[in-house]
Amino acid sequence: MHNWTKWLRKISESMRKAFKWLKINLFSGNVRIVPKLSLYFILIIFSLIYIEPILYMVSMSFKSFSDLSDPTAKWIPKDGTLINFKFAISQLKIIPRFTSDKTFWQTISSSPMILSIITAIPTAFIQMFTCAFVGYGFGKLKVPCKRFLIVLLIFAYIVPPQVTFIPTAWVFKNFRLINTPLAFIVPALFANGIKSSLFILIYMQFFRKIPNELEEAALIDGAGYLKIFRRVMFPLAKPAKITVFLFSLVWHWNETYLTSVLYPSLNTMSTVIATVKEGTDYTYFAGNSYNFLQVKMASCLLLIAPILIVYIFTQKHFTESIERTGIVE
Amino acid sequence: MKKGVVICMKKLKIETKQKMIGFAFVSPWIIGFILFSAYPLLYSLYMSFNKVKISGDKLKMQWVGFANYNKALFQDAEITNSLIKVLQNTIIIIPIIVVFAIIMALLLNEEFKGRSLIRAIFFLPVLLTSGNLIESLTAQGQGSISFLKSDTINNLIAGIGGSWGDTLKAVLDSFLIILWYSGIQMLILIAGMQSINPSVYEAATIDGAGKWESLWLITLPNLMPFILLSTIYTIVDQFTAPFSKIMNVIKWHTQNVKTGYGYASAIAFLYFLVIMAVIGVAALLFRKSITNKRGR
Repeated sequence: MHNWTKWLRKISESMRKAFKWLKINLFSGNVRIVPKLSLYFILIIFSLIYIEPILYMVSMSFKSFSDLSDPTAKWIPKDGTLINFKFAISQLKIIPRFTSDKTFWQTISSSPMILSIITAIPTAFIQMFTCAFVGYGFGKLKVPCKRFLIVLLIFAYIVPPQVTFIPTAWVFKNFRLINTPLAFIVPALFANGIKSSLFILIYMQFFRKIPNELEEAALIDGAGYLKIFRRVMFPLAKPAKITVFLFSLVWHWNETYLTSVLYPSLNTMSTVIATVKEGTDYTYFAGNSYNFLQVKMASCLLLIAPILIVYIFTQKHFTESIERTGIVE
Repeated sequence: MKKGVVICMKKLKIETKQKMIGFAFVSPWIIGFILFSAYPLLYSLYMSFNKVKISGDKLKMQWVGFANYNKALFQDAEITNSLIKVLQNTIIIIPIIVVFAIIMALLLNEEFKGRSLIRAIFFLPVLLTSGNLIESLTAQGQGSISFLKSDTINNLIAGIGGSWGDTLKAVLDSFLIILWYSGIQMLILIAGMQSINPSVYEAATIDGAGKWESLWLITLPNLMPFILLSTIYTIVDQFTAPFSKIMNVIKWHTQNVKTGYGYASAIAFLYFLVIMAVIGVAALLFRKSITNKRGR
């Protein structure tokens, strides 16, 4: 008769013990194994879900036609083939063919990959320099109406490109910048590339954190401010430089809206992958319709491959050195 | 007294000299701003009050006052529809992105082995924000997370119905891609968390606070300015995403001979006003953190 009360007491005691254990292990400030393991577990599973589309893209690019309908070959293709890449390269005309009737520039710019590289990399480099220049001015020097100019900076960032792209296109036409990579390079020369206000702010916060004594010592040694910038400040800004370079490169590389406006006839990688459509092909697929999905994924992979390579080399510099970048105060 | 005047003049000169140097450093940006931002903006504003026709290589303007705005707001149903749709979309998407960025930043700030690799993985989608790539991925069904496609959720949404149901369904269809937009916000928030003094946490642990309490009472209040920054960034990012409906509407009207550039500029300015309103709402919600912000 009294058994069930004993049972109840036992259960409630064990529950209380379990709660106490949970409370000690999960919610106290001590570092125990259980929360670490659960953290790892959550993060690994979540990162796999997060990059699943990228893994899908990579695995699709290597699949042949039979792998699509093969349920056992979901991630790793059984019939791995490079034909999708070959077809994408030939259809997107990535490798330029030098013929005698076209100028050097025409053949080079007919290849989307080379065109993207010519457009994005110089722009990123130039932005890295000019935004540092302006950011140093805002951060360390006395600028008249500084507050007003910073408000203008933020305003320039908030204004959507749709509001200004029509007159901008006309301005570029008048300067004959349209349809050339200069359409991106010239604004970058004036620290007005894509999202450049962000970069100026990054540099500004970074330079503000550098103590004034450094500047004063250089001034005592007789350096002018230009020399201070060139010799002292700019080399110091390495984390910020790498961040700005990578962001600028990525945004210019992936830009589709502005390119379609300022650059209507030319084809950068990011606009050209939209032209992959269904159809048949004789060279690689013996007159059958080609693997549209796989080829599309292969062309996407070709699009992001150069950026991924740059990312692998530079990501350590800003994911781990955020403290020194001083992106925000 | 003469010496005082001389010294006064010298001081003034040094100050102006420094101001000139500062101005010289900032001048490239000012020139670029005038050429590529201010002039197009003002010209676009001027165009929105005109009916613009292209004759040959020049633009012919015909002043119509507020007629373009009238037409856009009160007569053209397509525009109000797309504006409302865009607003609905962003009201749902922005909190999702910011909350996800906060959670991930909290997780990624912990010390553990392989942290840089996981941070690199979570930051990777920032490289992939090309519009065409995302469109290709969504077209092949990679946009959402598989367990969100279950039947129970579909039935729930069907129950809501109407335009909100459509928006919810569209959001769930590309949920993962939406989460991809939170890379930079994570960066901002992690940087923000680094700026909190660790001794505050130690003092709190001494006083007996657990991890949960220190999260809510120390971390989150100190992160408020950065959360505001991330929210504003997300708002601007989402509204200037190239594949929202209103972009196409604007683009189409620029090609349209009947309505022309003037009309397109009017729509663009209305869009701009909507963005400012949303940013204003966000700033209002976070107004306490603005007053503590230094330097601006």
